[in-house]
Order: sequence, then C-alpha cells, then structure tokens
Amino acid sequence: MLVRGESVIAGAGILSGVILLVVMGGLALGTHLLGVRAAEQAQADRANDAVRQLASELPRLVEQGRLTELRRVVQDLAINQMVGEARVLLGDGRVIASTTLSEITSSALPETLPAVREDVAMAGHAVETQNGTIVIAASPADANANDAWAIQAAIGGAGALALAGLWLVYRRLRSKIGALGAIRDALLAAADGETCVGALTVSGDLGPAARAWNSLLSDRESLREKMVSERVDETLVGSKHGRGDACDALWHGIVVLDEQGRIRYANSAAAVFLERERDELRGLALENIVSDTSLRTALRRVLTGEIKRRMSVELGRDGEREDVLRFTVRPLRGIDGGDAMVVIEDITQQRVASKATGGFVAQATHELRTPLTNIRLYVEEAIDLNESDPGERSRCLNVINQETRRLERLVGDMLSVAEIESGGLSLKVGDVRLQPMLEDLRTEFEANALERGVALSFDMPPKFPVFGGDREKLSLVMHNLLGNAIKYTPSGGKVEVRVLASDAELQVEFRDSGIGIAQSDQERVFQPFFRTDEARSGGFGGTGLGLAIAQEIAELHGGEITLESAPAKGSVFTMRIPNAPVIDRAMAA
Amino acid sequence: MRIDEQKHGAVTVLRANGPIAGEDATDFALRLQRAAKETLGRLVIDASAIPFIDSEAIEAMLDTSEILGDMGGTLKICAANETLREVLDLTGVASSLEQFENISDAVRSFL
Repeated sequence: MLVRGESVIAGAGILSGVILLVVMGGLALGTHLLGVRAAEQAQADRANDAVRQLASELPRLVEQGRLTELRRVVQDLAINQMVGEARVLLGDGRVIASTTLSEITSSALPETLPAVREDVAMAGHAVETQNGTIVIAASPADANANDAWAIQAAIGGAGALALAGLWLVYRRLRSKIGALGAIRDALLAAADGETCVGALTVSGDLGPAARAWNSLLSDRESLREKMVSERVDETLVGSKHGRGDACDALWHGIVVLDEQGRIRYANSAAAVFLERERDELRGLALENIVSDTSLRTALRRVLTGEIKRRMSVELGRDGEREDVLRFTVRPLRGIDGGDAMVVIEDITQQRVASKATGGFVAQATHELRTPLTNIRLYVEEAIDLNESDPGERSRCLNVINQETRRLERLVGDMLSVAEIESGGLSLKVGDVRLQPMLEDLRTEFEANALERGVALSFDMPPKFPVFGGDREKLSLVMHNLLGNAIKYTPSGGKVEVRVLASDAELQVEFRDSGIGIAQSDQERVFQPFFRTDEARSGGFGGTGLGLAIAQEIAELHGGEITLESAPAKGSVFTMRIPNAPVIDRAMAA
Repeated sequence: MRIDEQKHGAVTVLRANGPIAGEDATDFALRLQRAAKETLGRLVIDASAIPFIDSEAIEAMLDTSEILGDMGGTLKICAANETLREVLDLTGVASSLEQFENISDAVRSFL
C-alpha cells in the first residue's frame, strides 16, 4: 500500500522500469537481427569459397576418373565447409556426387560426358573438363544464430540485473526521499488548514525522518494540551482562592438563566461582554442588561418552551469599535425545567472577514457586468444590422473587441489579487533589460496619449545597468502606473516619466497634471477595488485593482511605490526597486 | 485530540483523550452526534481523560442530549473529574445528563 508522499517515488520507479525494459528489449531484438544477418552472410561467403575450391579441383578429378575422391570432397563440403547442400551433376541431370548419398543416381563416371541440358545448366555452376561439361549445384547451410542468441541472453541478464538494481534503488529512495515527500505533503495539508494530528502523521516505515516528524507533531499536540491544562489550572487555583471558577477558563461568555430570565450564573467572560461586574449580574434579568427586541423575543420563546432548539441573535455593541456579539439562547432540559443557557461570542473578526469577502464579490460582479452588458448590446446590434451597414457593424465589432480586452484585463487583475490574498504571488527573477522594456512602454502608450490630447514625455538615462527582477511583473507595474497617469489627466495635460537607474536602485517617477487625489484617500488607493469618488463620478473606467497589484509587486521586489498628490494639481507615483537580492515571498513562506 | 470508540455489548463508549477546546470541540461534536444516531441512544462519554471542556463542547453535549432526548434517552457521562463536574454544574448542563463514577456503572444503566 502506498503511503503519503510515496506515490511520486513509486511512479518514478515504475516509469524508469518500463523505460529500461523497453530499451533493453529493443537492444536485444536489434542485436539478434544483426547477428542473424551477419551469420547468414558469413555462411554464404564460406560456401562460395568452398564451391570455388571444388570447381578448381573438379576437372582434375573427373579427367582422372577419381569418382570416390570427388564424392569425399563433396561430403567434406557439408561437414567442414558449412555448405548445406552440394551436388555434382552430369549434363543430362544424373547425380554423380552429393552431400546426400541417396541422391546419387549414377554409380560410375562415363568416359564421355553428356551435353548439358538447359535446365541442368540453370541449376548450378558449369565447369569445363577435358571430358566435357559438368555442373556443381550448392547452397549454404542455415545461418547459425547461436552467437546472436548468446549476446541477447547476455543483454537479458544485464537487464534483469539492472531491474534488480533499480528495485534496490527504489527501496533506498522510498526510505530516504519518500519520507521527505510525505512530510512535504503533510506541510502543504497543514498550510491548507488541516489540524488533525492523525491526518498529518506520516508512515513511520519511511525512516528516521518520518519518525522525527511524527514525534514533532506529537510534541506539538502535547504542548497545546499542556497550555490548555495550564490555563485551566490557573483558573482553578484562582477558584480555590475565591477569585473565580472552572468556567472562567472559557473564552466565550456563559450565562445561565432561571425560568424568569434572571441570571443564575455568569462566568467572567460574560461579565466582560455585558460590561458589568460579575457580582452585579446575579439576579438581574438579562433582557434589562441587553435591551434588544430580537434578543428579548428569543429569550421569551425559549424560556416559555415555545422553541425547543437554540436561537441566535447577533448584536452590534455600542462604542467606538464596531464589535459584534452573538447571543445563542438554548433551553436546558432537566428536572428544573424552563431554564436557559446563553452563550455569548465576539464574532467581530468573522464579520469583518465576511464583509470583506462580500464586498469583493459585489465589486467583482459589478465590474464584470458592465463590459458583459456592452458586449451583449453590441452583438445584438451587429446581428440586427446584418450586411446593411458595414461601417456601423465594424464600429460594433470594435466596441466588442475593446470590451473583451477589458474583461480579459479585469480577470487577469482579479487573478493577481487572488494570488496576493492567498500569498501565492511569487517572482520569476532574472536579468531585466530596462531600456527595451521602457521603449515598449512608450510605444504602447504614445497613441493612447495622443488620442486623449495628453503630452507624454520620457526622461531616460543614456545607459542602464543590468537589473535583477521579474521582467513581466515590473512591466505590469509600469503599465498600471502610466495607464492611470494618462487616464486621469484631462486633455491638454501632460504626463512625464522620469527614470533614474543606478547599480543600486531603479526609480521610475510618473508625474501627471491630472485630477489628483485627496489626502484622505491617498493610503486607500493601494487597497483592492478602492476608487476615489472623483474617479467614479468622472466616468473613468477601471477596477481599482491596478495600484494594489503594483504595490504588492514592488514590495515583493523589496521596494515600494509612494504617492504625492493634491486635488486638481496632479499626482506623482514613484516606484523604487532595489537592484539587490529579491525577496520571494512564496519562497520565504 | 484522539477519540477512542469501544463497544460494550450494544453500548458504545466514546473516550476523548485530552482537553476538548477550539477545533477539537468541533470534531468532538461531530463524533458525538454521529454516534448518538448510529447507536440509537446507547451512548456513554468516558470523561476520565478529559481535563477540561470549552463552551463549544458544552453545546455539543447539549445538542447530543437533545438528539438522545428525542429518542427517549439521555446522554450519560462517566468518570468526570472535579473541574468537568464543576463546569457541567455551573452551566446547568448537568441537569441534562446522567453522571456515573465509572464505565461499568454507565453501561449497566442500560440493562
């Protein structure tokens, strides 16, 4: 059975094994085929040599009538010269010598050899003697592939050894790296909010590192339990000295009411939430302390037995802070009957988080809906126009194109913000050539500035140092800052980009003569989705994400973006990035 | 926190090891309610290894007590230490439970 983190090792092992087997199999097959071919060629060469030798001796043997010797020589071809079959034929087809004795059809050598028939001549190689023409027919023996199979067997053996070695390496890796993989998985699970010790524990079979990790988890759990116990002990010590009771260790307020709604018991947390001295609370009606209609109704319904289950009421607490308390009222069954328990929790943080999430969703929905509506309207118009007005239709398509790009930018920005919120935004650091990047920026925005009647100028040094950073993200920062500067500058205004680049730092200043930003809004413009009232009422498009993303990227580089601005006087956004080792937040985390 | 489950005939005993507070209380609540439904009310909490519980755990006991009450039963708890008994008494939860000195007494009460 695979355990946490072992799947990667097992997968790699199996893949390596399959690749090795395929390679070994291919090698063995190729070697075998080559071996067979080489053996066949060698056999053919040797047979040809033997037949040539026979042909050279044949005239002498025939002329001297030495048939027995001729037959021995032919037999020798089969035994020693690797010739499969060999026959010596007379011109009329009779066999006078053969490697297969039963094929011999002429027991004597005629003094005058018969003329060679055409089919006999085609069967082999004709040899001229003084007595006439005689024919030798021969074919090589089957190739002996034993050598090739031996090589194949050797390779197969090597493959088996390699597989065995791979298995040993896998076992070794399983114990060495498998533990690291399992611990890594557990750490990622913990980062995702897993707190259960059982779920974070890894198999102890993975070695000492895994056991050390499990021990660490166990120690952590013991420490946590010890902390809770110590807190309880402190409370109990206080209780023995008349300063409290066991329930004072609870984070939540606990109030027990009698059937009349009067407080029979309240712990110290409840006293804090209700902003009374604890001794004062006993005997008071809770509804007189917290005079809220919904809480009063909940208390009445529970105490009268109208409701048998819990009821929750959330109330804002008066004061400078916007605290929210949740009162959970529930009946207490038992012989006394009619009693109720009220648990009081401070849910301010939960509310803040929930509000932030809700605000983000509302803003995102609103921003997505505008371009989608435009796209739908212009698509409908383009369909209605059909081919009747190509010019108008082209205008519709242009608007659709622009709105699609806007959507694309918006979704990209939202993804970046999501990465920032989750802490997942990281940098791909490399050498950045600043000059071409800034030239691209100028080219991209020149037409836009001209169209809006804004004078755009760049003040750049003659030479740039090599800069360390994430090219794409730095480009995005400058794109956002310059885009904003042009967007919020009315026609007739100007935007200046001033670049100062040294070996130590890159400083890019975006100065505009636009609508400016009030002092009270200057910090908030770097928050996601924040847009000033002037930006909203002035009809300037935008999502309110660009500056938040830019600031985050600058900070990831170890730098910052600062703002100087005044309403109606323009703004100066300055990006400062050190040319130094870059802080990669993801790595640091 | 580890929660062990033991069967004593038809009775299920849940033994929590350690204080029940915070996230552990959520796990405890889920285990209790599931066990209450699965055992048709034959459920005992062995509190011998629980030094302390928080308000969420108290609510979990009350929720389970309500479930068992609907089945005509009562939540039974045994071997609670002094602190736990004090918490249960002060919060009025004790009146919704049956308390026993040990597991044997709690299990025998179902006979």
